[in-house]
Parts: sequence; C-alpha cells; structure tokens
Amino acid sequence: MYKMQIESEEDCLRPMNCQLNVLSRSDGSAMFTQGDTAVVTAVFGPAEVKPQRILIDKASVEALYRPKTGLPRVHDKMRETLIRNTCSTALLVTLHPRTSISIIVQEMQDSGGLLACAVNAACLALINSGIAMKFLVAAVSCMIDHEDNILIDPNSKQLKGSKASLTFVFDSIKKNIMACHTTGRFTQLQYEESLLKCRNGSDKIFSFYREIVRKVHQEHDRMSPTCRT
Amino acid sequence: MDESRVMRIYFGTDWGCCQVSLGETKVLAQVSCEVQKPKTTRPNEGMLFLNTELSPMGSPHFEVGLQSELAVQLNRLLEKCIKDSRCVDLESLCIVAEEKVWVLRVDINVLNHEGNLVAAASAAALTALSHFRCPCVTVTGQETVIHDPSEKDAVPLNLHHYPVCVSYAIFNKGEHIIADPTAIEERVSEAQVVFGVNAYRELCGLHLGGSSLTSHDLILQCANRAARRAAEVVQIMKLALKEDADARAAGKSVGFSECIQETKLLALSQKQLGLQLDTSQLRGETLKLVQKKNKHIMYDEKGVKVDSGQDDRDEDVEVEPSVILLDRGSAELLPKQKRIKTERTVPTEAGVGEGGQNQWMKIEGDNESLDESDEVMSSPSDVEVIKEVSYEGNKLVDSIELSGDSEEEETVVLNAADVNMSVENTDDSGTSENIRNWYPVKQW
Repeated sequence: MYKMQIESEEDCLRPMNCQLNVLSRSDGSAMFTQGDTAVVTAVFGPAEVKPQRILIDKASVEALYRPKTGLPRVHDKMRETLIRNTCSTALLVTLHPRTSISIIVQEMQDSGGLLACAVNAACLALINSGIAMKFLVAAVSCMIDHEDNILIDPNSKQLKGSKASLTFVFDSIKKNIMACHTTGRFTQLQYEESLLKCRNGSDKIFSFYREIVRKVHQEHDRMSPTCRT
Repeated sequence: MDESRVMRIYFGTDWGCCQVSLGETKVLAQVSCEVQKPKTTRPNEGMLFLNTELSPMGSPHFEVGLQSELAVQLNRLLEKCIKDSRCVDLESLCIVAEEKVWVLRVDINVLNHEGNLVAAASAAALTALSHFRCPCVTVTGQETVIHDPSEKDAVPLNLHHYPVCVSYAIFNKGEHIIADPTAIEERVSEAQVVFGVNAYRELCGLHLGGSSLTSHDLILQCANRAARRAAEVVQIMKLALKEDADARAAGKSVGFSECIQETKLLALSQKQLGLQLDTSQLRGETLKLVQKKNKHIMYDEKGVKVDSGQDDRDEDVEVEPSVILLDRGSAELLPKQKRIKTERTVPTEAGVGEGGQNQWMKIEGDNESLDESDEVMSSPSDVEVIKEVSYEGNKLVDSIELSGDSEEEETVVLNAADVNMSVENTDDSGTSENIRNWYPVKQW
C-alpha cells in the first residue's frame, strides 16, 4: 500500500509507532516510539492557572519532563525548557488568555534520540488535544561520528561512538529551525549538512502526522455518513 | 462483587521496566540498582527503596513535588506490603559484607488514575522486581568486578512470594462492597479496604480507611475474596513474565512499541523510512552555501539585512532570494519554492503525499499582486528592493507568520475548508487538478 524506496545509503529514520488518546484523564495524549525509544505524553489545557503563573494576554504553557528513575536533573530541565519554548511558539496562546496549558512527558525507554522523540510526542499529544496551533513541529536528531559521517536518528549503540550530536526542531510550514540543541564539536560545514539532512527527515515526520490524522478522519467519515453533504 | 477490570502487563526493552494497565489505570515501574554501603544494623543485607510518583499526567489535580495525602498513603501501603513483608531476598544482594551491597530502587510512576492505584502499583512493582536482572559481580580478594550484561548474563532477583494488593470500596455502611473500584466509585465510597495478600493466602498488609462502621465478618469475607483475587493476579503476572522471557529468548523484538495496538483507530506505525539523499551533491551544496553565507551579506538603506542563500531547503531547491515588502521598514526574504523532490510515500487511493505544491494562493509577478493579501502593503519607499519579487508560495500563510502577534488569523494546516477556498482562489495555471485532497471535501 505504501511505496518505499530506500535508494541511497543508510540514511533512514527509525520505525515510528504511535497511539493517540492512550490516557483517559488528560485532554490529549500520545504514546510515541521511534525505534526503541518510547515516550508517553499528556496535555492538559486550557485549564485553570495558578495565580503566580497567570498571563493576561496569553495562555501560560508549562512543560514537564519526567525521567523513568530518580528525580529530574539538569538535562531533564533543559528538555523541559526546549519543549516549552517550542510548544508555546507553535500553539496559538493568545486564543486562551489567563489559562494554562501543561505538557507532561514521561520517558518510557531511552535508546537514543530522546529529545527528538519527546518533542514529536508532544506535538502528537497537542494534535490529539485539539488546542489550536499555528503549525506542527517535528524534531530530528543526528550525530557525527569520529570518521565525520553524519548519521540521522541514531540509536544508543551508535551514539556511543559519536563526537557530536545535534537535534533540530522544524516547523511544518516553512521548515524553519524552531529549536536546536547540540553537544560536542563540529565544523560549520558539518552543521549545515546535518541541518539539510534533518530537514529532509522532518518531511517524513510531518507526513506521519498527516497520516494519523487522515486515518482518524476517514474513520469518522465512514462511521457517520450523515455528516457528509 | 468480585469483578475486576482486565489487567494487562507490558514490558520494556530494559530489564526491570514494566507497565501495568488495570482497565484505564496505567502505572509504569522501573527497577534500578546501585552499589552502596549497607546499614550498620544489617551489614549482610541489601536495601530496597520504593518511590511512588503521582505524575501530573495521571490526573489534573496531581501536582509536582507536593506530596499529597494520596501519594503518601500509596507509598506507605506499598512499603508495608512489599518491603516489610520481606518478599525480596535481601541477603542475596550482598556483595561484600559490611562494605558493598546492592541497593534496589523501584520507581513507580502513575500515568493515568482511573481508580485502584494501589493494586496496579503493587502489581507493577512486583512484576518489575521479578523482571529485573542484577549485573553479575565477582569478588576476587580486595577487588570487586561488576560485569557488563553483554559479558556475563545478569542475575535475576530472588522473590520469596508475591504480595499483591487488592482493594475494595464499601458503600452504605457495609451493605455494598465492590472490588476494584474506579476513580468515581472511590470518590463516592464511604470506606476503602486494602488487603495485601500473597498466593499462599498470607496477609501481608491491611488498610482500612474512610468513615464506615463494618462488622468483622465482612472484613473476613473480603479477605477470603481478596486471597482468591491475589492468586489470579499472580497467575497473570507469571504468565506475562513467561511470555516476555520466551520472546526475548526467541530474539523477537520486545519493548513498548509492541504494546501499541496497531489495529486500533488512533494508532499508526511506519517502518523504515528511508531518506532519499544524494550525498555527494549534498556536500557540494552545503559547501556552496557556507561560502555564500560568509561572503554575501547585503544591507539596504534602512539597515534591513538581506541575506542571500540563507533559507536553504533541500539540494533540489534553487535558492534565489526574493524580497517581499510588507510594511514600512520591514521586509522578508523568501526563497523560491520549487517542488522538492523527496521520495513520496504515497498510498494509492487519495493524493496524500509530502504536502504537494502549495495551492493556496498563487501569485505571479511582482509587487502589485501582493495587494491581494490581508496585510497592508504600503508603498515600499523605505526598503530597497535588491531582487525582483516573483515567487510562488504559500503567501497567505507567510504573511500571517510575519505579522508578529496577530495570531487571531489561525493557520490551521489541516483544514478542509481552506482547501475549498484555495481551490476557488487559485490562479489557474494548469495545476489545479493537483488539489490537495487528503481530506474529503466537506461543506459545513
């Protein structure tokens, strides 16, 4: 049913699975896996906001990242900041002033590319919650190994031999960079190349989002033919 | 009265990671271990710590950090049931007496709270403990070597028995008792009773909370039923563990990606997604771009920086810059958007693809045609045009993007009505049959 052509080298994203609406209490939720990295995300909102976080002209977006074991540490807080900034840009926050939108990400399995997986899962949960967004976001991670090869969407085994790892987040309309997080050393040329490759990869993720929405809507149309005029 | 919801257990790829769903209640447990000095009072034993986190994801009224009454109660119940009953053989966790022991830590995260958290959490904790493998340790004289699981197989933990928690909710002063209460039932109940029972009908923990006066034979009756239920739960756990062990031995893929039921409506999976990239051309392009970037940084009279070649797409796209004039003193640079030739994962029915050519507003020519947009296109007297504007693009969307905070004009990418509208507005240039119709066209 789907034609896949894997032409050139091994540049490929890991297989993606997702299930929406896995949690009954939250407004939107998604369980998303990329290869062996799995993440479950829940979105609550627009909901009542605490007085210290209230913003009079827009919704207050809050992101929470919980690791599987132990208490949240510094790099978890960094992930929270990135997710929060990305999502507050993508959401139409001025539509819901004086409310709060919370995005909670729970790590389930970490096999590399966790930040990218978390951002993608957050976007899926936001789609499921129905909060209005300006555009969708997709994150792609890549790494540069010691032979200066650029590998897209590496798993934890491949990441062990990396000298730099980069994660880019793109928006769905103009494919601009919304966020970028890197570790390690790399040249400008390597950065540009990784950026182009990751941008190419983000197209796949956007079409994945479209597919799941299309699937749901097709079923809705099929089940309620009276809606169709 | 004895009806319980269906319990499902899924395992992750790591040892000691499992998710239990009891109806809609979902709990994730993970076991980890660490070497530490033992307690002075018990130098031969390892230690076990249980940590229950009520994640804000579980319920809207769960908060971070704040240890609510429910969290404390849950933690205490599980500790009583699992730690105090000494179901895990702690002496086997000893490496070097009085110096090094394994310290186990069980983190339980509540993903969704739909009632009966204690049963789900206890099942998750016990399953995770049974699933966990401790790294193999060899002690040679003064040295202790901890082997990586890839070198030497990790050792499973020793569990004497499985004390599962079973809870009941009491209504109407003991007239009605129900097993496995949901969230709503819990909240309207008068009292809850939790039994910690193992498969040998031994009582490991008991908790009675609430405001209901009950007779003692009621409690005994419940205890009997709880023992039966506990035996069932232990059966389910053992079966799940066995299935997982078989799957791993057979080399089949395990992990949470398997628990996503693809047949469900809201689930989707996609296997290998190859990216079609010509690496040599890619390198050439990046080199060109990097050189360009460092040379050509142009400025116009108002100091608006106009970079050429900044917005690069894929290697198939020409990056001719074009300036759009919006307002006084502001300009935006957009490259020509050519058809991006990435591979198409197109299903044969509807025209779902990479998003196709943008059909929303097709503007040919130069500045005059920009009057069609909603934005105010004042005369560009203050911004010097370096290159002529001629682009095809999602102009409506772009102009909204750049107008700063006017987010009232929503740009909803997935909208059938917009597809309709764009069909009418589109400048017919022979490509109108390529309508993006991955939605059935609906009239509201």
